[in-house]
Amino acid sequence: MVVKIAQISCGSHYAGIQNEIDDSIKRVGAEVFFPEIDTASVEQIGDEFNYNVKSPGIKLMLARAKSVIDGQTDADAVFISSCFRCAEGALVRNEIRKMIQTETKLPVVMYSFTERTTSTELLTRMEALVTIVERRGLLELQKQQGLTAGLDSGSTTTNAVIMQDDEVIGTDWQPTTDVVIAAEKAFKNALKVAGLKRSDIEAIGTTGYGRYELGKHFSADLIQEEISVNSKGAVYLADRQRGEATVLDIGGMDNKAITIRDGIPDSFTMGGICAGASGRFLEMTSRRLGIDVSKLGELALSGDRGTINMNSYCIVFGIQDLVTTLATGEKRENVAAAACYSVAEQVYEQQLQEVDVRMPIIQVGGTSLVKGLVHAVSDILGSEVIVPRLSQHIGATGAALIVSGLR
Amino acid sequence: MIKIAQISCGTEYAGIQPEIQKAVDAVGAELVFSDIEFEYISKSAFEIGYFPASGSLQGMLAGARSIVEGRTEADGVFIATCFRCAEGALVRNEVRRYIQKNTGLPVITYAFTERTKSSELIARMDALSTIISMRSLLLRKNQEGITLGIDSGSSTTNAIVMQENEIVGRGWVPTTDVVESAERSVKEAIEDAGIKFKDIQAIGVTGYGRHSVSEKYKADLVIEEVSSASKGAVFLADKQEDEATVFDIGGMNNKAITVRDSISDSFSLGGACAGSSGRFLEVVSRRLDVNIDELGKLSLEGDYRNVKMESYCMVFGIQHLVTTLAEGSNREDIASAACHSVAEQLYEQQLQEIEIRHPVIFVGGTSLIDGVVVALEELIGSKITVPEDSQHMGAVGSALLASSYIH
Repeated sequence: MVVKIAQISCGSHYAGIQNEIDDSIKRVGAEVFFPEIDTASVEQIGDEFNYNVKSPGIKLMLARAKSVIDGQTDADAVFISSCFRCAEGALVRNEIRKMIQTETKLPVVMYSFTERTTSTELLTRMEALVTIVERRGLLELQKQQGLTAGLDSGSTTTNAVIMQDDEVIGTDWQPTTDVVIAAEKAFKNALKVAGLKRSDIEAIGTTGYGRYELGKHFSADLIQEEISVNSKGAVYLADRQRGEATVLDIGGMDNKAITIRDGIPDSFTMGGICAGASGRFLEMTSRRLGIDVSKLGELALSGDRGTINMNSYCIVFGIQDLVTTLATGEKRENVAAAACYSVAEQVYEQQLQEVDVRMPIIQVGGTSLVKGLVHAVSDILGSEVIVPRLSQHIGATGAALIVSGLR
Repeated sequence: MIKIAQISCGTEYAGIQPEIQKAVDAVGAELVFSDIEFEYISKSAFEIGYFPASGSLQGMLAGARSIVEGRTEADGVFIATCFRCAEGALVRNEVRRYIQKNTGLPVITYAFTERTKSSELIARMDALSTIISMRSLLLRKNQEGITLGIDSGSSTTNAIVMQENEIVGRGWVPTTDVVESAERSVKEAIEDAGIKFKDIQAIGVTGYGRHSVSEKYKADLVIEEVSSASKGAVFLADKQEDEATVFDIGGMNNKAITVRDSISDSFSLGGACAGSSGRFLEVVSRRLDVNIDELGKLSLEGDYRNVKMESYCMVFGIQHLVTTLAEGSNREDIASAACHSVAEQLYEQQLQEIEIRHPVIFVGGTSLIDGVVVALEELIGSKITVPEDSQHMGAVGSALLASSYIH
């Protein structure tokens, strides 16, 4: 079966990025199409949606969305996109996503493109869309069975998890230097913790940035992008496999916010072009404070950001502000609190606008261990955030769980 | 007292109204709100031809109409909406256009966050009230007598001696200690002019350190940067009549200013992101081991398209460039990619907030980097003027305007 992705967009040809979209979709073995519309109805489309739109390109988006909602297409998934510059496009993108999610069960991904969007940036998103459609049955698996391993090769760290009969029995993590060497080491250590040999493992799943390389090296049974795998791992560890949730992962370089229904992602956003909204900001602050990043969270909890003047969220100017503040005798815990708050706020401002945050929020990844950051996220979102056990291992856990369906 | 009319949505809700009030108080102006009747609101949307869904945004349109029709007395207008609201962004722009089309009032637009502080707003309010209160001074076209202008910026301190409408002495030093750097710069300029300090008949100061410098020199004129840079730019480019746009990419702050008859009527100030600042270029130069003034030439021989840069962020972006360099990309391409990235950020972060008018005059230290000029020309699709002495615009503007204070 070839997965059919309906494209609802404005400006992708004009910006010269349609070939990048086509290319990324071809690379994941799917097909893209523009939903057919009744041209006569385009003029009135605004009335139908009770939404007054000026641009003809955006009217076309609404008409195409209607075609998908009315079941006139055989779409398996929907890709919604408009230019990042256009405020009207941003509104319509969101309206369309909401309507499609209310009226259909189709997975959706949204993207605001620039003229320099490349197929590489789109690839993970398209791959996730295809996985959600093709492996729906596998993703619905709720219990791990047998003896499996999951390997998550991230840009900063590589994680390995061994699971047996729905229990995690071994974990390890290594900094990612060489993708394969780091994974070999993490895998070996996790096996040691579990008291097992490699030959005992019945199936291996890989995920993360280096998943293909690891998949080849370990002859993995499953190679899957991190969006669907992390979602699964997060709801499994947080015991929220039924109902809705939002998974938030603030990484060393890129961030993910994924909304989930019954363990399966239905929309997500990925960011990662601003270090001010990343774990890197916390690493640098820790270094300036002369502490390990693992201690930053505790320190921040005892501080008050209120007194700190930070004029910029930027990692360069912001940290400069923090250093100046420190030099004027400000308490270290207050500086730590301000740093955590700044990152949380940036993630919120840059990314969480693009998804409808659903409760509960499950925060995962290495930075979820920084308590001050979790506190800041709760504060900004106005709701308790869940940090499940093994929250830094969700990718590897998700991979071990999903691959057990393929034994 | 100067009356600044506020047209906004959500400032009370976001808790920033006290910050706006503080900023307006700090510059000695008075904040006024339009008195509008309920019925008037829907009529205004009709009149302006734009129908926002939100009632509060409709109220903004009514406020604008009340100013245009003279029911609300104002000397300048401050338009603000929450940065999160795409519809607000549209309305902000519509309101600005409507007011500029129908009145001669200077306008600033601002997208606020919940943590907007009065310090961020003061620079904007200061410029707005200068444009209003010093209007007749700003209309001065020719420099007379012997005057000194000092521009104390975050990266460099400029001093300019002018005599009978000509620049006769120049000083340009990196800013370390504000006053010390000013003294060195002034000494350079005076020696260059071949005059003595006591020959100077009036002094004007501007820039970030203007208050400290003014105290030291007992300046006759202390003026904020938007007005001094606009004046200096149009004088140097010989475009004191009609319309123009002035760009200035600084070490920390950027400006995009539209002017009419050499007085600014709207502007956008940036400076929260190092990726869109001159700082980015300094760091790249260091990595490429060239002097910053050679970076531009180098970049003209390269092609940014050959370099993959996935982030505009100073930290991630430069990391990409360094990796690319290590992989054997040539230095020319890297230099070109860096210039392009900074220009693109100015474009994306700021030029959306104003309507570019021709000619475009590019000033400030970065205007000497040819690669940035070329990249900006490509982005805005038209020629850019870089006048002689473009890096001295602030000091030139201050020296020129100071001649009104010669006794």
